[in-house]
Amino acid sequence: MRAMSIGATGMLAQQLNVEVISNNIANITTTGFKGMRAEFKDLLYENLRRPGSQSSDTGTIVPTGIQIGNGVSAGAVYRINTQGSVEQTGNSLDLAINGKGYLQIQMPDGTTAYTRAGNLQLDANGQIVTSDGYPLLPSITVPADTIDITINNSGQVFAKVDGQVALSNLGQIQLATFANPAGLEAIGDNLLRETPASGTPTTGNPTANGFGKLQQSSLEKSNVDIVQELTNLITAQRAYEMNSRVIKSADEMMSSLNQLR
Amino acid sequence: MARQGKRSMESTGLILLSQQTALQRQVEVLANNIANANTTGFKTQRMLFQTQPMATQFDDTLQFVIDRATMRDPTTGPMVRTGNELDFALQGAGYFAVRTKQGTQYTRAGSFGINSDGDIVTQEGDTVLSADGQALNIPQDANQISLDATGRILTDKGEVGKLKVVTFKQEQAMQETGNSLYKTNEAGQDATDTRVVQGAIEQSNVRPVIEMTQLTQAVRAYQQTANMIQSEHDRLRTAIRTLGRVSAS
Repeated sequence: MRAMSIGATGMLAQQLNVEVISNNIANITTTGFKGMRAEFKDLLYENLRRPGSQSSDTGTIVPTGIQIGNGVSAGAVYRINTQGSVEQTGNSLDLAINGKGYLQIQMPDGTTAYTRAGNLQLDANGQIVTSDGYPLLPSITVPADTIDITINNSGQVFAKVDGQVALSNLGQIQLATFANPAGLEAIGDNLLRETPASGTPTTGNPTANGFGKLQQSSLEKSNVDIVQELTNLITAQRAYEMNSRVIKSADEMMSSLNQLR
Repeated sequence: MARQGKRSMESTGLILLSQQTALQRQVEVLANNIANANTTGFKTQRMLFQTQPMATQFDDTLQFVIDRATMRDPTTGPMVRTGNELDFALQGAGYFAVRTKQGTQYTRAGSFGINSDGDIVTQEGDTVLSADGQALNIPQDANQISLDATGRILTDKGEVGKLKVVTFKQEQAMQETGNSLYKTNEAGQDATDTRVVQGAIEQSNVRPVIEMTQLTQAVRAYQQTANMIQSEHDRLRTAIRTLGRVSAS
């Protein structure tokens, strides 16, 4: 009986849905996190069609045949790249990106990763790094006797060094944009990696055409909407139950057949 | 013309069998509806049953049931805001046109994305078509994608094009091909009073309450039929036994 396997595809799909939703809820306070959404599609249809079958003696024709679907499958799990709310933190190395773009991070294996989590820090050499210690690209080193760091909207980094009147320009933070940011691959630790689907990065200064602006002493919060996620969770759970009812119903039908003597 | 048939001892069993086959199909259709209760742009399917009259040598007709067709319930599903600027929902009749390997197909699932060339594509990667049959290309340096009241997609770097939305006279003749796509041989007309909404998607129009009650009904009817087959079988057995005894004595 096909109904059983159709119900099974429904349960699998809702299970994936719950997994995606629970990951969103788990990351409700993760800096720069973008919520994901599971998108479903119907499976192939079986055509038990009777083309041009007549529905009456006068020759009227049923306009459609019999098409029986085979259930549902996961179409895609895609990132919703909306802007998260920006929160003031007071930490001078916290950067929020308002608009398009990703910070570029140098990975230990030499590749470049991308992130919107701008909770940056200094390492032992004064280099600006992520909370995991991966250096920011292009690399910027802050002198040892710096009192204060100022980063403006367009990404220029200035340091007030002890004993100097003028601020010294330490460098320029650049952002990368992609044709299809939803195609970036998440590799954990708030980092994303370029894929053939995302396209190649275009780098530029913040506030330039097509790039967002930087906001110092702020962080972009997760864009997950908890109310929406919880409603989705309930919907997914109920849908799961309904699909299990389908399997049970199919089972009852088969058992009534088996009871025939 | 109702076909001339013979009424025989098996007629009851055959009629019941026709019902069981039909009910089994119906449960499959219901199962598919329930499985797709969360599928964007999905339309509920309904099984269409019909009686198949068959005249007998006596002056009466036997009525078999056959599953004639599956119909789609074309009502618009509930609209859900996602906030994603590449999600589009259709308010009113019509379909988005999509270029697939099998030619142009149509869909109401408007959860689109961008591919690495900047073209608007479906989640399967098929190109979404503009009113003049071209791909809709979003410039890479565009910051914002918006939609005006007439369905034109605009960015801060200029107009991209108008989404192609078509309606069909024979909507029921469209065939599902899976992946939320439909195909048809009809050319279709440009939709005139359908509104495209940005940042929202049309959910499945499956109403779980109705599907679940129908499922329960179908299962009960199936069990009832099984019971009738059983009692019919008993009746025949008794008849054969009794008649056999009569002729032997």
